[in-house]
Amino acid sequence: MWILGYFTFKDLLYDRLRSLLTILSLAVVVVSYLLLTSLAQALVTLSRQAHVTNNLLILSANTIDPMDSSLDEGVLQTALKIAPEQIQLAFPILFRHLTIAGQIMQVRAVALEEMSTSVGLTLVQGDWPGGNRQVVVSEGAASLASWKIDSTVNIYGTDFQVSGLVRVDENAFGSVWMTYPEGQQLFGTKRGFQVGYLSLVPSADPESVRTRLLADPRISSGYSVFLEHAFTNGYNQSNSNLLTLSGIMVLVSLLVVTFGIYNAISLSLAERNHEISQLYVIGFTLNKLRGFLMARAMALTLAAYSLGWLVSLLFINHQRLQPSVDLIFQALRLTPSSSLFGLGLALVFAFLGVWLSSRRLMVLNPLTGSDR
Amino acid sequence: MMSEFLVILRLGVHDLFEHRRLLLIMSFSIAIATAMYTFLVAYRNGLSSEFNEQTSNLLVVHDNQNVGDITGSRISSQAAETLAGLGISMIIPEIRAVTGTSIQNATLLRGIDLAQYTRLESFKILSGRRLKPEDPPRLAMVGVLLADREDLKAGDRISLRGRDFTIVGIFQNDTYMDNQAWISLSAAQALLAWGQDVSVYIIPDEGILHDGGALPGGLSVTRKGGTLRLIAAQYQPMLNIWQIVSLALGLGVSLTLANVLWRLAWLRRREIAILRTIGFPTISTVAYLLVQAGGITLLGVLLGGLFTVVFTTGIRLTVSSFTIVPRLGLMTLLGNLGWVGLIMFAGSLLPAWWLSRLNLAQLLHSK
Repeated sequence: MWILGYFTFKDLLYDRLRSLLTILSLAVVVVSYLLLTSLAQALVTLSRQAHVTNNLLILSANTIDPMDSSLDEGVLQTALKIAPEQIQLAFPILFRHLTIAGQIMQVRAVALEEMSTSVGLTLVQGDWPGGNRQVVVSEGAASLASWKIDSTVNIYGTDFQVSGLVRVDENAFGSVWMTYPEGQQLFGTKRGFQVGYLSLVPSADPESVRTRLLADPRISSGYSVFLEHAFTNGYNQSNSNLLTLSGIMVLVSLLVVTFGIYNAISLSLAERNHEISQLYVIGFTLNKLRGFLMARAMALTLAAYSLGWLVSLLFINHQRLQPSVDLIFQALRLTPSSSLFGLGLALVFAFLGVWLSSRRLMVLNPLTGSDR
Repeated sequence: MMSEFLVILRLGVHDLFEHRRLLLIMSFSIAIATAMYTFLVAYRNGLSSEFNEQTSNLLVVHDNQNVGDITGSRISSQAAETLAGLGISMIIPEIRAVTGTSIQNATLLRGIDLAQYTRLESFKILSGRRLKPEDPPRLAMVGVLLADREDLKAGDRISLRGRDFTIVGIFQNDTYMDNQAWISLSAAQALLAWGQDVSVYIIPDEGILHDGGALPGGLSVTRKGGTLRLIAAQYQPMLNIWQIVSLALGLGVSLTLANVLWRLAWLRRREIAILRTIGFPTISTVAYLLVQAGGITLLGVLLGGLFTVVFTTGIRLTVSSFTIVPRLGLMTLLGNLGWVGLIMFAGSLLPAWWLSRLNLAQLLHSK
């Protein structure tokens, strides 16, 4: 084994310029693969199924963008009357898509006590909005607009102070949150609120409550009722085309990795007919020769993958510091699973490349060093 | 000179065939890099074309900070009086909304002033006819991308918020509007139960109001198409990653090509040395490499073209009711040829430089 390692090392070192060229060319396609995988990972996160909750949402009938919905307090009272034992809490949410600091963002107004409970915001820095003209912003929004705690955010001509940064679970990557009274004061009450949030008791079956609500003409005549996770999934799935496309590109880049490895191995074999014939003559078996070629290919692949992985990591970390992420695209992530999967595949391709290329060794004439 | 060139050409072609499996795989690598690059450029062109306004001297009055170019804005018709009072010469109302029962079947809706809409957008009618001022309310024109997506033809019916509209024509204007259904303003107001409210007022930029200005009642003035650029910018990070990847693949392929040609030339080093000894110029080495690079690249470009056609026709990118159509023009194709040429020359020059540095006498001794 030691001899094999020494032999491989000496061979790569002797041919160092071309070994370097091979490593560089493979590393570059490894970077392509890892970047595309990271992008696909971000899209998977974006398109993933929402957490199943026990909550329902009410919106005006035939509205796609919640912003177009217009509800009044009466609809929440009606819902409470229809299923009083199943609905434990009903509260309104104001919703707007607005252009803030040159970016399209969601602005949501909700009762302060519901932010961390029903809505599921996690405060990661600062405080919840306590005083007048205060908002909390999502990490995505902060990254987009370069906001920090105490930054000033202008919404509808009114300046708000950022009191905290929050992490959001679902499709509110670039979002600004304020208390409900603050939202009413800002947007007025003419268009009511946009979303009615119904929190059910744990024992309730959301689908049966939804059916019950829609069976009542007071609800079905002008409103739609959604399971919260189904509504979120609908939005998440709208990006599924991008995910498919990204997946295809990952496969294509893997194909280039395969070709690159096969090329590198085939060429080194074609070039060494003479030396291999000599090794044959002095008693090296086919398996031993394959072992040498395998060690050479693995060393090249590992070196190229390590270099490619390092460059990708540096790029992705640099990219995460830039405010280039936005409402649709989350930050790229290089996960251990995708890195190891890529490494495993690269090694498998290297193995297959050696195996396929070395089949011709079986018909190699040791005397002439050429094919029969 | 000609006979020398023919000898080099023959040697290069001979070596191409001798290592055909390897060179076929190399061609595949070039094909993939070329196809990815073309695909990316075609989608980038499509995105910038679809989200680009045809008119540059118009302003939009809409709800403060709203994405009114697409949806979400709702303003009172009294705003028209305010605008008229300011001396604005042309005030065209429109409704822009999204209808449907879910984001998957959402339809972009535009309510247009039938007497004036042709002053705002240029389009060609692909089938049927355009809407006219005297038309009854339940008629619609639909954009070609929406028609393709929903398999609609002139004479068919389209359901908008549960009401059927008869399609009188299919139009095309090569922007995102090809995803829209156009109905009369009054029909849209009735459909949305908005009374006399509208989404936006389009006005000329005649120096009275300016981009970024504000009006009483929470109204903003922005340049027509400003929101579209924001939407297109949403996709920019993904396109940037694709661009980096396609450039990286090109670089990778170029390095691999250099490696392949280098090794093939190394296998032929003795023959090349003999040719140079008997009077072939140094440039013949470059010619030998370029013949092989050209053969590999030509096959790669042909395969890449095939992959591009399969990609662009087989994959339809529709996100949130917008279909992005890849666009390939002459400039794109010329740019691609330049890109492929760059890969080929970069891949040939390194081995050529390396070969020219080798000692001729030593090469003649090699086996």
